[in-house]
Amino acid sequence: MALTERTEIDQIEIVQQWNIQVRQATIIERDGDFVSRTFHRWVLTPDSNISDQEQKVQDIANAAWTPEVRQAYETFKAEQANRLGV
Amino acid sequence: MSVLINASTSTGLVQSADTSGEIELQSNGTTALKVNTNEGIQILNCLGVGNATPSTSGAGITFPATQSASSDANTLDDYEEGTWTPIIGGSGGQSGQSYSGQAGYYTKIGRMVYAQCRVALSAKGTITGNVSLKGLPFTADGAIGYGAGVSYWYGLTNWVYVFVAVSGGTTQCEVRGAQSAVSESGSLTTTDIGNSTQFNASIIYFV
Repeated sequence: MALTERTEIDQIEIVQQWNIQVRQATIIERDGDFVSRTFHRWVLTPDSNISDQEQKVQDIANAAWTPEVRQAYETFKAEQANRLGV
Repeated sequence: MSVLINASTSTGLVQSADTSGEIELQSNGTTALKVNTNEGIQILNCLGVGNATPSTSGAGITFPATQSASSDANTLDDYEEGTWTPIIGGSGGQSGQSYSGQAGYYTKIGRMVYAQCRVALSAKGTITGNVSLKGLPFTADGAIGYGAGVSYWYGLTNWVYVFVAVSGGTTQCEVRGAQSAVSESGSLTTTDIGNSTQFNASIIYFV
């Protein structure tokens, strides 16, 4: 009987144009049969450092974050700052 | 699949021998599903909805790995548990932080996210703008200013009350507070925190 653990990025979603929601699943299997799965999540924005992300995450981020989207994100941040009085 | 009527134990579709009209779906001699007009529907282990494979662990409802959102207000369409990594940063950015502790847990039920965290700095580095709690597991919807609680804080200047407010469209909360019982709440800035500042927070928001 062998227990194995593996992790995989099992979900990448683009929310509100620039937020890239990433879900990493950690899967435990016994002799190849599924035992359990847990999740860890994070969200990337155009100002995130993505150099340590998996290549498929980088590819999606680079495709999604066009110059227009990056500009829209900067505008959004400026509006947020104004609303918060920064 | 065999179909048996008035059988007691077998594999297949079994109708009760009495007059209850109970119907059971059995597998390897074990009843996996029972339908009875008086008792409703009884399932042995997990129920997979949206064509999800039922979990083999415990008993409950298994939702699809990717939410199949329903526009119906009476439909529960998602459930997920997991972890996230909270960070203390600034509304204008941050760099050089290190932590003595970072732990975050979340449960998403439908469109509601309940996130808990404990985050403790060991070096605050450079924080620009207002102090923020960042790294929420899901992007908040477009509204601004969901209030949320801070149950414990440590290593701040003279603040008598501290809370966090989720910023719509982001994955961060502004850390706010009051410096006296009669003062209006304001934002914490980098001068208000130190190298050992800690927050424990419970945050509820919608996606």
